[in-house]
Amino acid sequence: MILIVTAFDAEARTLIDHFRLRRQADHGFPVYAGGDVWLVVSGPGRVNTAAATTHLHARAGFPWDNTWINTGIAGHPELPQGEARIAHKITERISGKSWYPALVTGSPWASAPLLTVDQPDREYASDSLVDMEASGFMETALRFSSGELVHVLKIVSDNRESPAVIPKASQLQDWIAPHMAALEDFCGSLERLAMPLETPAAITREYERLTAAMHFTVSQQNRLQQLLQRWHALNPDTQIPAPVSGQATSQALLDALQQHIDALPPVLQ
Amino acid sequence: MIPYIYIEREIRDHPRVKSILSRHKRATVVECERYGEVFNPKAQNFRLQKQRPALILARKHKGLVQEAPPGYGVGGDSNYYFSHMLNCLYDCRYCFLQGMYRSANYVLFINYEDFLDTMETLAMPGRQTWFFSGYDGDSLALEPVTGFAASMLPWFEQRPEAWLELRTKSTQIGSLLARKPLPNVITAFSFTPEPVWKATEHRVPTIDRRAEAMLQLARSGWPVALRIDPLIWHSDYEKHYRALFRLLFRHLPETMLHSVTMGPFRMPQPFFRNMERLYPEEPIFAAGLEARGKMVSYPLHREREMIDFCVEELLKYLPEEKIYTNLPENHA
Repeated sequence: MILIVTAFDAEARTLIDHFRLRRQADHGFPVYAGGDVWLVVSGPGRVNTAAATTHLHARAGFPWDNTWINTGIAGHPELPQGEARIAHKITERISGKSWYPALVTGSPWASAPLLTVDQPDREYASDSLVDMEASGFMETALRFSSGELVHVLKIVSDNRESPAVIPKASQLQDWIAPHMAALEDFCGSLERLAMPLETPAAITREYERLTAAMHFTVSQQNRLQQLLQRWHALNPDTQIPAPVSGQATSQALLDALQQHIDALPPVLQ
Repeated sequence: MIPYIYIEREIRDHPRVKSILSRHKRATVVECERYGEVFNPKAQNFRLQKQRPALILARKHKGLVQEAPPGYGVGGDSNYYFSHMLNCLYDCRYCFLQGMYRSANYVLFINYEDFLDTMETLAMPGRQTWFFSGYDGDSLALEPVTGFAASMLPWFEQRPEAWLELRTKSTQIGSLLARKPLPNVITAFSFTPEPVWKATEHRVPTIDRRAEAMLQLARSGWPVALRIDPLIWHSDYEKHYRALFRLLFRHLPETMLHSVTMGPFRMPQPFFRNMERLYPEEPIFAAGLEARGKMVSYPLHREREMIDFCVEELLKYLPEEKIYTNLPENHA
């Protein structure tokens, strides 16, 4: 699943069109979804962004360890308008706190530091991207996912030569649209990166089969999950043997499975 | 290639930092205040980061050299360990580092001189004092980047009662071969049998290449040692360990070998749980282990059986006084 947080409708429009997202019936924040992609429009500032990130997490069903992207426009002293950078360090000016997103998959864009401020910065004094949202996004999204999957992509909208004015929607789309294909690829690479974190389908199938066949208490369900994980580590793609699964009670099944596993030395190939 | 290098601001101009940066011109450099800002945050996944670790350059401020646990050693009067690095180039599935740290990034502490200053205070005249390197990472694998071993050797040359063990799975022995051998610097090569190497020691050079490196060092007059650690229980383990010893001793005469140590797989429970969560599909975590006290290990009888077997096999090649079983104190 890909979860995207943007500040403004005009920033979101290009993403909504690219990923073919549809407006959801939400109050509080505009939410869009389509296929595996969710998007929320937060409004400006880090507090709005933190709240919208939490809203999207709930709205998408509390997903764990998924791809999170904060994208939108930012200022930079020198970079030309329309240039994109992924953040390798995000610093919140008011607290001095920094985050360091781990770029494990590589990125189609060069990276840059980013400073999150509470008031628009017209001085361009920092040699960084400058925005008003990223720290609120990082602080929140990192509660829901691992740091390797949480990233901030900013597109330069203003610089010393062309200081900040409110850009027209069409101008924003012209800046953002050229980066859509790369963003989709990047999100794909993050989703592939996260694949080992998913429970293998074979374990889920076996778990569902066994728990449908007989009653397991909650603690027995946990034990069953752990034992199935061990069984499949030792015997990939093999169902547990019939004499084990055919036990009369859940307790007997768990004990038989445990005994079976403990007797098997791992075969290393 | 190292894609990102994080540097603590206070060491930005350290000559060792400048030297490393000059050899990694394509890496993106990111400044931080303290390495813990990058290395310690909770929301990190060791397994994901291991695919493309970054390098963090830092200064170590305290705990530079630590006392070794009781029962650990190769006959010295005092035993200490230290780590100039956190994490390792290799990706061994049984390694406790993946359970201990949240980040797989490499941390290199560049204040080597402070390690030596601490050792100076610990090395007592008339007492054989051992300093074991390679607890939190391989001692030599990143030597071409760090130059750590090379910078330690002159100190040990001046202090014959201080002993250094460089623990490694690498073949990076160039900095040792480049100088006169020192009798008090032991390069200890870790081995597991071939099926264990293949299944669990990702990115580690082949057994043949490491055996060759060990032989090359020994022939040049450097003391070498074997570390059969950790002992991994698996199907046909007797056959596999026997084959490993046969291979290692085929070319290496016992007289060239300083010592052989072995230790069973043991892991603090929280580390083991983390490792299991990271690699649920890993067979060596799935069978034969049990929680014992605060540790996860093989049952005592299985540990004993494996150690007895290996000792018996090793005795075919070298005398008993060169064999050490590094067992924790609670091993009954």
